[in-house]
Formats: sequence, structure tokens, C-alpha cells
Amino acid sequence: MARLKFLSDLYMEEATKRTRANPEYQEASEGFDDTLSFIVEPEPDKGITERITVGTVLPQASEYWLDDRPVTFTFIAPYSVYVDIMTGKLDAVRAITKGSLKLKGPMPKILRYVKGTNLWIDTLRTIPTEFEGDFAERSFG
Amino acid sequence: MARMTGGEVVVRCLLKEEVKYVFGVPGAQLLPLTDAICKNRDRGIDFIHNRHEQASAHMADAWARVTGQPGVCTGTVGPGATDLVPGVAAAYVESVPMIVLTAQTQSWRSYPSHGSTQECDQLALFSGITKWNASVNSWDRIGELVRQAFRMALSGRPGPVHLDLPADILFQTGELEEDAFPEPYQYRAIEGPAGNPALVEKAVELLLSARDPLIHAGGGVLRSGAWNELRDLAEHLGTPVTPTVGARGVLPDDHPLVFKPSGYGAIGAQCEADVVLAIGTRFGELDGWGNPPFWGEKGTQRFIQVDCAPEMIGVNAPLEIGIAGDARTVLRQIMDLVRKTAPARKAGRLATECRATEQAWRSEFEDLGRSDTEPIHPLRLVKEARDFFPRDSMICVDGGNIAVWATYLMDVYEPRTFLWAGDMGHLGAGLPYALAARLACPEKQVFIIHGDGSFLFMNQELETARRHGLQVIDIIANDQAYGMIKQGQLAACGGRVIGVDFYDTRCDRMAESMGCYGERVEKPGQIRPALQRAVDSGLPAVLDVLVDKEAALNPPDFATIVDLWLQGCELG
Repeated sequence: MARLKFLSDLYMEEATKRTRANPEYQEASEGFDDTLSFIVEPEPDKGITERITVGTVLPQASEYWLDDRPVTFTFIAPYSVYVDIMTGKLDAVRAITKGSLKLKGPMPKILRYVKGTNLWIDTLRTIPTEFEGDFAERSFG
Repeated sequence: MARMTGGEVVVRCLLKEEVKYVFGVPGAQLLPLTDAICKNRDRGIDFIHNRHEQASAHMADAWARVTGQPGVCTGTVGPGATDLVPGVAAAYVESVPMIVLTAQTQSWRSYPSHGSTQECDQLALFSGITKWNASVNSWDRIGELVRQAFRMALSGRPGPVHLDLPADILFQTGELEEDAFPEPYQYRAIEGPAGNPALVEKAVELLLSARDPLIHAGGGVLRSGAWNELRDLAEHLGTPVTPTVGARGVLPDDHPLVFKPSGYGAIGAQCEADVVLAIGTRFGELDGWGNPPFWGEKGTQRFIQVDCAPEMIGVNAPLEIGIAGDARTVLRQIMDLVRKTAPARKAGRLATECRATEQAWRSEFEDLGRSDTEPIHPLRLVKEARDFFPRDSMICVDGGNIAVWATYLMDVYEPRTFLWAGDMGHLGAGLPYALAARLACPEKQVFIIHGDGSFLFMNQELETARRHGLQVIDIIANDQAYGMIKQGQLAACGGRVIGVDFYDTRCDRMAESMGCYGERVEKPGQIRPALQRAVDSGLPAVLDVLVDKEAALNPPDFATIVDLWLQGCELG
């Protein structure tokens, strides 16, 4: 499979498929049933010039969207933080608890589903991913 | 009218304060003091001599933490005084009341120095790690200054104080009437100050109008003995309680409203609460400074802070209401008003939701605590120890990574039963803490869990334990390394390590050489029987437990701790 541009329409479509198809993740996230948005802040000095927003419903992954919508959880971070998480340099929950991945939404619920969160990130890591700008060399898969 | 040395005057003052033990190492200039203790043993005071003054200071610190009364330690001029420093510093940063007595060379040849052997500017030495210190420059002022020492140690934010006692003053004799030794209530406050009633009223209004209130309890609650008042308020309002690391045990860890420090239940509650009543804490580093991500976003969360020290009010987190006052007294004021205006409530949404989060967080550690892998997983050791000892046991934690591992499953159930020099992070405090805990609570079992690195800082105190018949069970998670530093080096220095690995030391045999029980443990199934044999020995005991070196390096929250410590530093 060719690499997919991180958080592009095709990437989200593939992520949705793989999320639905991961029984271990589905089991660990049972009862979560909520909406999430991921906002990527630009880093122009590193070649990331545009703000990106994507959203989904987890764990069902019944749909995804590429615009701003009202959701329960919003995660906000620069592109580099997402790259660190996707490449395994930074643990996603640690990114939240150290404040580099900012969360708007009920923290207790997110912290209750740590195992599910980690399994979801693992699922996304199976997608051949292409990063942009200065991060291109960290593309994988 | 009785004739007495300066040393005897000091001891008579200590007796008025019902001091039971002076911890120290004797010395020539201290002779009048130690001899006065010797002569007054039948009046209830005794001298506990250690193998190093640092241990004496740690014991005085622990005595104060467990009993609520100031601990007293002593060292002779020069090396004795300088050896006390680490233990005094650990107490100072955690607001533990102590009386530190040092001998000094004769008054006519100190300050300034005239070149006496061992002479040292001890006033300067202790000035940064005590609330107050003074040189006792006249026999006539001994009583006044000892009383001032107790007044200062116990007032406002408690802490260590220091008296420098020149040898000639200690040896000098004079006559004093019995009324030269007043009762403590005649010279210092017995109750802590109340809070401003108008501010207390505002605080109650804010608490009662909150959607999701939270009580954050710090070491000040333990120091003032306010756990019953804390429980009453929390249970009446159905409010979650997040104790700080320094307040572990203020309410039982298995109380339905209590969330362990840094656990995900606690972080969730701290982020979600709209009103926080913080009592006896200054929101230090281990509290994330009262800032996100460990707390709610600015502007969404309102803080009420109660602290006995006005200078600690608002020092880190911006406040809605700051109340200077003693934790117990102010909690009583709050409860009186709450009872009049609000009926008791059930546990609120926040407590229920965060309980589920806490359980999910803990379940992973419970699994590791049952691990049968060899070498032994550190959490298996922690869990075995906690399950073996009674709920009311005195628990001492000492070290780096093992202290982090212990956070997860080392549950604490009673106030003043958990001892850890967490703020200063001293290695080696555990064993002296345990010995003092045993002296203070001879009816309770006392155990320590620490690493081999920390054990080998203060292991000589096993001889003190044996000599005084103090049974403590010393459990060593032996990974033959300064694990916390090693992991930091591995993570930050491209895999290079330096100065962190050890030879395989037989800590159990060291214990045996000092007349204690010793046993090495290598398999998970051996832990519990070994603990039983240690207790049955009737002796101070060391279990030298070989743990999984790789697993020991990586407690899950290690990275978060390093993030806090090195915040703002440019890391590779």
C-alpha cells in the first residue's frame, strides 16, 4: 500500500476501516461512544502552513469529517506533536498529561480509556503514513 | 533552688515539652547535654544514639511526622553539626517541626573564628534550612531561647529551628527556681489560629454553589491533625478528596471519595472540578503547580486556599479566596457553617466518574502486582508487602524508581502512617524514619520499601535498630543501580550511562553482620514466606529482593516526573 498523507481524506478513510476492524480496540473502548476532533496547528517554520481539522466517532468509527464540528473532545497540538505520537516518540496519554497535546473535554473519561487510546494509536500506526514539510523523513510504512 | 549545668537547663526545658527522645551522636562539647539526659532518664527522656548524625535528624523528622510533636536531634560542633544537615533539610522543605541542638566551641572563641579545631559557622550553615536559629550566648538565656525554639518550630508554617550551644555555656552551672520552667501553654500557642470569618463565609458560599467541588488536602492537614474534620466535610458534601503525596493516609486510600496523588482519578477530578478547596498545600511541583494539565484551564476553575502560613497564600495558583489559618480550626469553621446551611449530600457526579477512571488506571498495576515472572517484578514485591502487613502498619518509602512503583499499590489507610522524604527526595531516609516510627508506635508493625541504592546510604542504622531492639522489616528492591538516574541517562543521553551501576552487594548478609535477620529472595513465591520469617525472627530484618532490572527502570509515570523536573530545559 502506498503511503497516505497524514490526516488526509484517504488517510481518514483507511483509519476508519482499520479502527472498525480491530476487535481488541473495540473491546477496550466499549462504552466510550463519543465524538472527537483533532486540530493540528501549523508550524510554518517547519513547512506546515495550514491548520488541519479532522473528527470521528469512537470506537465505532461510523463516520469521519474534515471540518470543525461540535464534539465532546477536542485535541489541539502542533503538527510535530502528532508526528511524535504517530512515530512512537511520545505516548499519547503522556502527551495529554504533560500538556503538549491539549484537551478540551472531560479529562476523567479520556483517562478511563487509556488502554483503548493506546490501541487506537497502534491501529493508526499500521497505516503507511506520509508526513509533510520538515517531517517528511519521518514518514513510515 | 537547684544548681545545674547549661545542659541540664536545656533538658529541663525539653521535659516541659514532654520530649521523650533526643536523637544524636555524642561528642565532647555535648557532654553536659548528654549527661543531663542520662541523669533524667527516670523522668521520661532518653538518648537514641545513631551511627551517623544524618540518621539522627531523619529520626527526629519522622518522630515529628508520626507524633505531631517536634523531634529533637543533636550533633557536636563541626562534623556532628554538618552531618545533621541533610536530615534537617528534608524536614525543612516539608514543614516538619524539629529542634536541632548543636554544640559550638566556647563562646569567647567562636563568631568570629579564632582557629579552633572543628569550629564551624553553624548559624550560617543552618540558616537556609531552618525557620529560625540563634546562638545561646549566655547561660541566663538558655530557657528563654529553648522556649523560643519551640514557639518558632510550631507556629505558622512549622519547621526545624536550630540552637547553637557553646561548650562553656553548656558546662557553666547556676541556680534556678522550679518556676523558671513554665508550662508550654504559658509561652506558646496551643491551638492554631482561626481564619477570617468573613472569608470563611465566602468560601462556604462558593463551595456550596459549586457544580463539582473538590478538596485538595496537603501535609498541613496531617500536621494540624485535621483528618476527622476533613472527612466530615468531604462526606457531608460528597466531595472528592485528592491528598498530596505529603498527605497520603490523611483519609484511607480505599475511602470512596479519595483519589491517590497523580492517579488518573485524581488528575481527572482536579481537571474537572469547578471549585477547589486546597488545605495545607502550596501547590508545589508534585502538585503540578496548580496549573494545567494536572488542573483545569485558567478561568474555568476557582481556588480557595487555606494555609497556616500567610506567605504561602497564592504563591503558585491564583486564588478566588485565600484564608490564613490552621487547617483544623478553619475546617471546623467551614463545617459549622456548612451544617447550618446545607443538608448532607451523596457522592457527586465527579466522584463517581473519577472512581471509574481510577479503577481503570489501577487495574493495569493490579495485574503487574500478580505477576509471576522471574526476576521479580517490582510491583509484585510492592503488592506482596502491602498485602502482608496490617492496615495500620507504618510504611516507609525510600528511593527513586521504587518509590514511584510503590505509589501505585502501596495503599495507606491511616493518618501519619506513611513516611517518605518526597520533596527533598533524600536517599537513605527510610531506615531512620522506620526506627523513629517504631519508637513512636511500638504496637505497630513497621516496614520500609526501598532500593539498594537508598539502603546503602544509611544501612549502618541497622545496628542502631538491633541495639535498641527496634524491629523494622527492611525490604530492598535490589536492581543494583541508581535506577531512576540510569533511566534518565538512557532516555536523554543517547543510551550512555555513567555512575549508576553497582556491584551485587549482599544486603542480607550485611544485616546478619549487625545481629539482624537477613534473607535474599529471588522468586515471587518466596516473598511472603520470607516476610513471615522476618517478622517471626523478632529482629530487625532485611529482605534483599532481586528484582527485574529492566522492569524496575521503567515505572509508567517516570517520564511525567522527568517532564516536571526538567520543565523548560532543552532536551535532545
